[in-house]
Amino acid sequence: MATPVLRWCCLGRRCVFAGIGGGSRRGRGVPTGSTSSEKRGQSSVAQQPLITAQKPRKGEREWAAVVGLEIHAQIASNSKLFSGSQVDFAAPPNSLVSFFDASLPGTLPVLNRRCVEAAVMTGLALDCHINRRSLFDRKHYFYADLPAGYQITQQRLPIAVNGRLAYSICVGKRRSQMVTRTAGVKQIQLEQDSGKSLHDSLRSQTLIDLNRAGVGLLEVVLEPDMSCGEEAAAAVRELQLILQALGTSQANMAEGQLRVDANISVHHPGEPLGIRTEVKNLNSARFLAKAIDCEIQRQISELENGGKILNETRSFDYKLGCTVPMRDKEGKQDYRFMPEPNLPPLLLYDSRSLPIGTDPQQVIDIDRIRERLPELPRVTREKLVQQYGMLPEHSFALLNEVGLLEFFQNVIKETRAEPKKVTSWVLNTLLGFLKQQNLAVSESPVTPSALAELLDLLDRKAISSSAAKQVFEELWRSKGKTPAQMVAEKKLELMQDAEALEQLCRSTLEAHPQVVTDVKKGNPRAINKLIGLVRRATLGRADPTAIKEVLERQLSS
Amino acid sequence: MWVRAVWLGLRASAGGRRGFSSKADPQGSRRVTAELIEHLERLALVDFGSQEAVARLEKAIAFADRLRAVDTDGVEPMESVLEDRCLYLRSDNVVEGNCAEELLQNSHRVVEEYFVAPPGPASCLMEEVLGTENIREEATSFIYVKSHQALGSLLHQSLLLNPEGPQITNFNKGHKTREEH
Repeated sequence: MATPVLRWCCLGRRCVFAGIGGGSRRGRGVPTGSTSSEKRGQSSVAQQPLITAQKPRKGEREWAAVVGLEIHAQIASNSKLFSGSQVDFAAPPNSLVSFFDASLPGTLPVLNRRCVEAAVMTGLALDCHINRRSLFDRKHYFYADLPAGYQITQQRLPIAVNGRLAYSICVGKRRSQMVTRTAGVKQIQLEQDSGKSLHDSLRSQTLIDLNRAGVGLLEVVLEPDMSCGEEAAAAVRELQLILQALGTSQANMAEGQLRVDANISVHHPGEPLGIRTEVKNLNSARFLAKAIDCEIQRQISELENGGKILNETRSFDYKLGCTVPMRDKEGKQDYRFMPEPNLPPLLLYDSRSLPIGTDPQQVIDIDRIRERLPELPRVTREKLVQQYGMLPEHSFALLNEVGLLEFFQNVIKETRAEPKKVTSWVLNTLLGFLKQQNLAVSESPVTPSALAELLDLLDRKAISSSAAKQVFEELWRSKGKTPAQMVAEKKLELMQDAEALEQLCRSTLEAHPQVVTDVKKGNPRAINKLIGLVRRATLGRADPTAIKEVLERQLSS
Repeated sequence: MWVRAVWLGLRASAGGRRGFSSKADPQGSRRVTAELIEHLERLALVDFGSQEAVARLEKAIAFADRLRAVDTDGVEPMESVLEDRCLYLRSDNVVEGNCAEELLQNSHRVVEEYFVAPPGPASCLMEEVLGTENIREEATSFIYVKSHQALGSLLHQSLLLNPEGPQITNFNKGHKTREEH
């Protein structure tokens, strides 16, 4: 029984949809078979027994989903966008508020140069066109945490437009193949953050902290070029890495420095786009993909069951695991946009248009910012692949963890071991241990130089790889000892005495005539058994390849 | 500039974009429907209250509509009267803040170092606000400002008001109630 949900899930997993309408003006991959996706689909059916296949043929058609994102990133600056009060995550309530932030009459906005530079940098990194002239507007809300009654933003003419964000996702049977996709960047605009409201339903009141009110935000609007939660999550992750590399935002989702809203709709390929809903406040990397996929599924089931999609704002309920409508009695809000009368247009220059004789503090030269742009994650990964012959997914993994790349590079600098070996040890062993104990790379008890020394021992064939694992575990547990000390203490060094090995091999063969006969009969696995026996006899201190060599020589003689 | 803002505001809210049926005859004089009044009340937290206030609003619109008589064909609209000025850029230094105590003095109610506002998202709040006068006071007390005049000029910037327009209900002590209108 192929239910619509099952079909959707298969599609969703692969993120494959026909590119029709405004949903995807850039090319997409073609569906390929996948066993893992089927499994996932079935489990989802189990969770969603309500959807039946009794509906007439309608359900037989495929669905395509269209996802666009609005991402708010808090600018990493010392002071706020339009006032000189401090930006800080944890400070006593209302201590970082100026008269302007509290919108006392007579106060005026004064634009922070750093915020403009951050927007230009981000725009350049995302291949945007930087508008030489941009404008500020007022967007009106009535919220207690927005004391002025409006937010200063850039609605009509934002600072940057028409960019692109390339991101990669895993596809294929074992999800081992990386595919690069692109989402258009519609615009980047500078705007003010609001304050924070703490709701006290017990006493039926709201506590207002304006520390965040007026902090500079970059709103990055991504075109609806994505088609599932996984793509959206990958795009957000890449943007996060770019912002962190640029230093324009710390982009820490847990601290609210990166907040995501998603616009989602579904339609049948070839037909006009469906009505979209907006899922607000996707503020957790973990739930981002899930929330989007849940909303896509909800819309499909709704339509399959003859329902309608309302153009509404929803939020993701982490406990229920689904999206719920937000209480919004106003229906369509009227923001009453108007030009901000207190801020003249923002003008930017390039090296050719730079006015002569003006205060350099008062002009921003786009070309100078471009020259100083740091290396972007995409380039760093390409270099890793080229320089060390690394698989692309390994380069992704190295950049995914704060400090891991630096750790890797420090190990590489100090060891003679092959880069491939280093990659494998860093990504499998080290990262595995860190993840298991929920530690950051900077908290690793094993230092880069200790790992480098350990890998040198391994490289010199002084220890076996299983002994190396053992040493690593010891290093993890007891700081301060060097790998060499550890090896000596635990007597883990490989047998370098060839004669002794020969002896051991010979006695093993003599003790197991049955296995020897098996080998001679051509059973390929029998030799492994002999290798295992010899290794046990050496207490794991002999290199299996060396044992194999000796055994084969002795058996054939 | 004021007249411009009023005009823009009216064009935006009464321009029929959202399908409100404010009837305009060719001369530009408008009848304001109850539905539009209700919407404006919610947005602006202004109480039109009586037929007299509505008449005043209609007069205000008629006043602003006289701007239509000016032929602006081919004239590029200005953003603001400051649009040819340089936008001053401030260097990113912390020079303000640390005045919570002073700021909190503006609030009717304070809990620890927080301002206190009524619960819930503002959209729901607004309905309550327009329902009872008491809640209205609560709703806006966190932006309580000592000088009524200063508040008036602040409101001017965000609400569609001109001197001929409907009376603003004062947002703090001593405001007029519906009965007084």
